[in-house]
Amino acid sequence: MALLEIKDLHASIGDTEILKGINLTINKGEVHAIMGPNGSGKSTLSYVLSGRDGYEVTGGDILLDGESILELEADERARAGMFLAFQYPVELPGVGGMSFLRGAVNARRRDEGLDDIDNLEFVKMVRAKAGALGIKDDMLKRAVNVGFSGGEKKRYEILQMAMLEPSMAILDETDSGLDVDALKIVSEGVNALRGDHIGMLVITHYQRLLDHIVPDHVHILAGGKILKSGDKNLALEVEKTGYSGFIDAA
Amino acid sequence: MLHDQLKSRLDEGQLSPVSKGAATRFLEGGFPKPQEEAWRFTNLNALRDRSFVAMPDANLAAADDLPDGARLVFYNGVFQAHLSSDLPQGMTVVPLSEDAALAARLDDERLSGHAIANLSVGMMTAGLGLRVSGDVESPLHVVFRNDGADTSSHAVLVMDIADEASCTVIEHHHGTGDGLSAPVLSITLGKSARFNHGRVQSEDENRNHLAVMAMDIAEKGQYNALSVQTGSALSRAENRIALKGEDVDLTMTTLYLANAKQVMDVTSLVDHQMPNCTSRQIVRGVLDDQAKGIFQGKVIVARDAQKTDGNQMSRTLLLSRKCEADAKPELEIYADDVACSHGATVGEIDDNHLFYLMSRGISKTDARQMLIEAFLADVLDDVDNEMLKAPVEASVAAWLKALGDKA
Ligand SMILES: Nc1ncnc2c1ncn2[C@@H]1O[C@H](COP(=O)(O)OP(=O)(O)OP(=O)(O)O)[C@@H](O)[C@H]1O
Ligand SMILES: [Mg+2]
Repeated sequence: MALLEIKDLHASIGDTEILKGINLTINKGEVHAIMGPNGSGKSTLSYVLSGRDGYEVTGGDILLDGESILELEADERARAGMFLAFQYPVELPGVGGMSFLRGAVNARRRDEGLDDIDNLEFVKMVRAKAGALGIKDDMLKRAVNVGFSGGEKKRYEILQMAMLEPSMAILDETDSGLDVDALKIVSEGVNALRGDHIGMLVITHYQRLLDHIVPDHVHILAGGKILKSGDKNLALEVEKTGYSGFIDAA
Repeated sequence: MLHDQLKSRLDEGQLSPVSKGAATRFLEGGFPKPQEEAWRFTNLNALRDRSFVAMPDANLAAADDLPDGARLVFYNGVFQAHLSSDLPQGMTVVPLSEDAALAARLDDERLSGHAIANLSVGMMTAGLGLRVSGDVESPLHVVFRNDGADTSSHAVLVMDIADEASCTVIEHHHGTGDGLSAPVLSITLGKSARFNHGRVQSEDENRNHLAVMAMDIAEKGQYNALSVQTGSALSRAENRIALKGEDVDLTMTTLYLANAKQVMDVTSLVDHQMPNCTSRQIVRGVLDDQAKGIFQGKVIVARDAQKTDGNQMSRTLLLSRKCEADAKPELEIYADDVACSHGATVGEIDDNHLFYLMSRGISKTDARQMLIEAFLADVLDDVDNEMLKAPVEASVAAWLKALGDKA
């Protein structure tokens, strides 16, 4: 059974249709990359998958582990294994980072009938994972994303992913805003989470990221549709020729 | 009924001059009317028609839920010596009937010109004076317990904090029954005195609570207050503060949390009479259901009060589209070299914030609670006096828990 199956997905914001019939199947263990011009609907797809309010699914279906998740709220989808690393992580003044992370971990555990995580174990786990991503202790103590630099926010997204161990992770332009060294660290962090138990959808504008996180499949999204799918070489092609060739051909 | 009770007290001729004046004034004017500017947003019409009965002989035999440590206990407005503890060194209490100087403070225009203060001072039995000198480290808890349908309680406490003295006093207002609680406080803060003042009002949701406090602060006095109201159908906490010396430093943080059809009113007057004083008022309100929140804050800066730094900021978080927030921040400035600011904002929980939390698996109910806590944490984090913070945080937590249980 496929991990994630997107079937002829149509979605609108207000009266405007943004996603115009998307088909995509992701199996466990696979990494798919989506590339596409600005405004083509990549972030919209990530939001619709993760259950953000304000989008109306007007057609098609989304199956996670074989079951439709269209009726599930964002938190239920997350607890079912969905994770979105935001293109623009949200600052939450007054929400302490540690209690946020603990709340998220425990929400998942409670759903699985487990006790809340032991506090010491939790702190140790956060420290270890944060360390590997080059996140300083001081950042962990601050309010969520408040005062973080662009790159720090992206690392913090991956830390959350590492803590939550999702089965389906969507990374929306996790590479944007990262310097060369940070890109390497974050990619290593993501690669460390790869495996048979997880599927990934990596949204990016740059081939550069895909040198680090090598995808099994690459898709080109434009105008709310997937125009072309291929292997990692498709990304190289995009880098060379841009999108116009694909769009004209479609 | 209050009217008849006040009349017969006057007729009996036993009232002290202060109470006599107050009773007479209340009998003339009655409860404030909505036409009066100060009561425009908080309508007392429903109270006027009630037949409250004051309980001058109120006596509570025992109570097992009183705070540990030093405490003074009022029951239905009457001081209960047998439930109160010994006081720490530096604090002494005296019945107002035996201390004319303290009793005379109640004649101050800020109280004698206030209808509710007149009602309570007119009705006062066993009003209490509290004198503080030296540094008192441990906090004093003042418990105002009120019980009974249709009863009214009129606690009166006059505090004198001597020059250079320092203390922490925390008021706890609890009550059941749909009665009226109308506590009056008069406080004088001496030169270089430091006063940490906490206040928790968590009376039952059908009570009515109208509190008035008048305070004078002398040169270099430091006043630091943190309060929260969550209780009563109708609740008003009114502070009338005069800065009477130079270099006074005042910080007042006021929270109110309301749901159902509660009306919560925070009204303050900060009167800068002398130069070089700082006043900072921070108000945070959270409103749910059809609750109504009111902030009326007036800062007066007299002509001589140059270099005044006065500001007040109210922020209200609306959890429902049916609640109402009224704000009237006012600055009345007669000096020319001042830095004053005021503002009031009203907002809702940000959908982006909510989605971010939910996308991590946190339920909508928990996410909302986290964001409300965050809204309040923004000001609570700035309070470093744990003695003040603990009871206020407990009250906030209880309110949030009830909110979560309801969802
Ligand atoms: N809230 C909204 N209301 C109306 N239109 C919107 C809204 N959000 C997005 N859109 C539109 O939907 C389209 C797709 O936006 P989306 O953010 O998904 O693009 P994207 O592919 O992620 O672009 P980028 O590469 O710049 O991140 C754009 O035309 C955008 O203007
Ligand atoms: Mg995008």
